[in-house]
Amino acid sequence: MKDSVRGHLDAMLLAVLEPGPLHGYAVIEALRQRSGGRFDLPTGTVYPALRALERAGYLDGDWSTVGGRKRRTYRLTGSGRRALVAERTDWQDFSRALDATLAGES
Amino acid sequence: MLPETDPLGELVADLRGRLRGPRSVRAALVREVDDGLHDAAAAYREAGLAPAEAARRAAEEFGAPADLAPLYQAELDASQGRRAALLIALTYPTLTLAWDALWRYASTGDGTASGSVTLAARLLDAGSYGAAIAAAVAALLFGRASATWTRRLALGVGTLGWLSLVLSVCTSVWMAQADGGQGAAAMRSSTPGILVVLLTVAASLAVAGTATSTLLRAGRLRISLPSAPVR
Repeated sequence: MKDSVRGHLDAMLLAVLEPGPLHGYAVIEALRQRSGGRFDLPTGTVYPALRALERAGYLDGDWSTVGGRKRRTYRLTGSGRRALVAERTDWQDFSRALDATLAGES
Repeated sequence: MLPETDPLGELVADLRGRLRGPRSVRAALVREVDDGLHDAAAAYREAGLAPAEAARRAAEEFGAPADLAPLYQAELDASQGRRAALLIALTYPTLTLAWDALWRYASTGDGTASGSVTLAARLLDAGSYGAAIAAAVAALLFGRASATWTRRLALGVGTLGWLSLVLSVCTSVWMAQADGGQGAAAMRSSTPGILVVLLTVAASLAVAGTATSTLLRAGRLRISLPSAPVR
């Protein structure tokens, strides 16, 4: 599970940020909730992954005050939304092909 | 009684000690990690864990700094490399335009130069614009580069910086001394000439400094994905 999660971490991060901006730990919480607790990578991998997505122009990161403390908050950019749509399409194609292959002869 | 430990503080200090790069970017990265760790510990405390156990769980889930540091270092290298690339991309066209303006409008020299000096000047201009274009492309490529490619790009930008600098300094010194030192004499007798020389020296030192930092930092980077179990 860990390797497959790692391979799709970027797409998962874009997906959890789709509804609205979140700070680093809230992103980790959202990943856990949406993955039903299966997200089991070291949480320390999330912060540099968010920075890499920001560097690519998929996220905008900014310091803001959340709950009385300054936190770095990330929001999806237009480019990030387009990348997420492309990732979803790729995954659905792959998933359909895998389902058909694993189902065997019926 | 055992002394109280601060697992979160120790973890953050360990990670900070492993990172090299632009100070402001490094401070922001480490601060974000520190915030996240304290958020995680607070969540465990709210769930009913004792403070010490909550902090230990948050640190354990984070992973080992030794395994994670290359991922953070890649972001620092991208930042350093992009800054160096942008500096090179801006410096050479600025210097080329400053030297052109000096010869055309500041009445420096008597306007005569041998064919070989004119050819060297044209080659220097072409090389400067070539280096600037290569650096601008590299600055764009840093955006989507993986950790491995970030390191390669940073090494390339550092090498480009030094190579272009050595070639331009050698060519400029030769041109100044050619034709019996006519160019150097013209520079010394003109205020705009002295200002452009000072600008060139300052810009060259800036390129040398940033190219050296980029090469040293990228040279140290080693990529290994974290593999330590979390729970």
